Amino acid sequence: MEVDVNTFARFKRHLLEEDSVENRNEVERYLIDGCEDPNNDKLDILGCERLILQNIRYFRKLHNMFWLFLYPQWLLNQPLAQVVVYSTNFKVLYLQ
Amino acid sequence: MGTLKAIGYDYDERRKALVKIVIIDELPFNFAEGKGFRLFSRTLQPKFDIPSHFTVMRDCLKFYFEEKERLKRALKGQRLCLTTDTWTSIQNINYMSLTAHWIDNEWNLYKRILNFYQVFNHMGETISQVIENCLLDWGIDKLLTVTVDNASSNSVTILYLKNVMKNLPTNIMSNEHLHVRCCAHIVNLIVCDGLKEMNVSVVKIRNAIRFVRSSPSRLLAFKKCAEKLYIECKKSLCLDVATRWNSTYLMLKAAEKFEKVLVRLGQSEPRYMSYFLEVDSKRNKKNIGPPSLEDWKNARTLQKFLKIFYIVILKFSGSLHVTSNSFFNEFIYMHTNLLQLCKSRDNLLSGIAMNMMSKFEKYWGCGANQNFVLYVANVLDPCLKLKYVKFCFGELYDYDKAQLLTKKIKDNLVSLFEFYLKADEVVDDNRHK
Repeated sequence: MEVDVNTFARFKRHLLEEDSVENRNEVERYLIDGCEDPNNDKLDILGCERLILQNIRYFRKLHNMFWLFLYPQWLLNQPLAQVVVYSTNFKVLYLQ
Repeated sequence: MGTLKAIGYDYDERRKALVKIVIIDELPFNFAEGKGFRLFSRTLQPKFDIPSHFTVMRDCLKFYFEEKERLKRALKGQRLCLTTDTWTSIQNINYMSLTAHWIDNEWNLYKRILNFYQVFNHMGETISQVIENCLLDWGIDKLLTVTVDNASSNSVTILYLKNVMKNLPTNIMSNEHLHVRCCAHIVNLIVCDGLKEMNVSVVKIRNAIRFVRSSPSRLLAFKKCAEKLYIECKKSLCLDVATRWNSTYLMLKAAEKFEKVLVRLGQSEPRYMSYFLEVDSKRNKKNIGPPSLEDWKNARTLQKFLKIFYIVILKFSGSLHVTSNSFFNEFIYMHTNLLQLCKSRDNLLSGIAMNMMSKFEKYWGCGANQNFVLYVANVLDPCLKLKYVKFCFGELYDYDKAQLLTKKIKDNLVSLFEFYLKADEVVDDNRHK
């Protein structure tokens, strides 16, 4: 099916606009969120960002550890699954 | 509990430490050859052979190149904010410095002086070429802003830099935000405009202080007068530096307390009055003064202005913490206070305030050519955000103007966000590849 080139161009433009709206929404979300106390002179902006970064790293680590725990379980399950598959095949082939 | 640790004698380590002493304390290379230091060193470690000043000089250079390489590695991939300034020394030599500020991936703020050059002149072309060479030398290709003072030559510098960097893929929004006018310098221009009006009064007070501080016997006479008037003089009079208006504020603030003492000094100390009657070869008065009641009144008026800007300048000149987010707050503080002083019934006060206000409007007014990245920094402050900007603009300007400015700032914020989003996508793509 041939599509008019102009349609693609318009579609591309539409995508760009859509992306821009999405970005705008993300910025908007930040702007709508409540402000910290403006009288708080001790608020360290870089310190706050550092804390967020630490939390992200911590959760990423936790996420990796979660897979680390699941992987041995998955490995253990593999022979069991094989046994089930073989026994089913055996039943189908020889016992019936 | 402390633990004992055996440390072997390492000659090279000691030499490195000596280099650090020379650099940190700004000592001459032959400092270690002095009799006193030799004695001190022999007492601490008899094995240490003190190197000659040539060796110390060579070690310093070696250390400089090592540190430069280390800094080059630290700068790699960082987006920098540069600050540059030029000045002429009393020996008539032109100097230029280039400082970099950046925040690393761990959200730590850094400030490093990259270069300290001797330049032929203060022309824009000269400065821009030096900066270009410096950027090439350090391998810097990512800039956010270049902060310069309001000298016209600096506009040429920024244009040249924009032109040089125009094809770099790392540019943010075609370097639209590259030029930042130094806020401290703008404050300086505003204040100097106000100071001009009352310069005679300031000079008279300065001369009176100069008299008191010129000899111990004069200072003693001054202290005696203060004692007689039951005025404590723990914090004595101080002189200002001609090029620093903030020191003029401190001088006036300290002198105000001693107004009566200086009047008394004029009555009891004949040397004080004759000091102001001295004439030069052309029969002109050498030292104008003594300060009259009118001068003291003027000084008090001036202090009201200077106090506003002194507080602002303290905030702007912080170097251990980020300051860009405080720009808008200080902008509002200055604007509100100046506006209030403009409405004063005192003609002198309102006159100066209006003069200052017109200068203020020239650089930070609604129609001025401003860099909106400074406002974006305010929006990124979790305590203030766009709500604060909108609120303050609503109080300063009419509805349409306030809406327009707020929209401009928001558009800039979105554009910056989109740029960083795209940059992140490229990094992610490269990581997947």
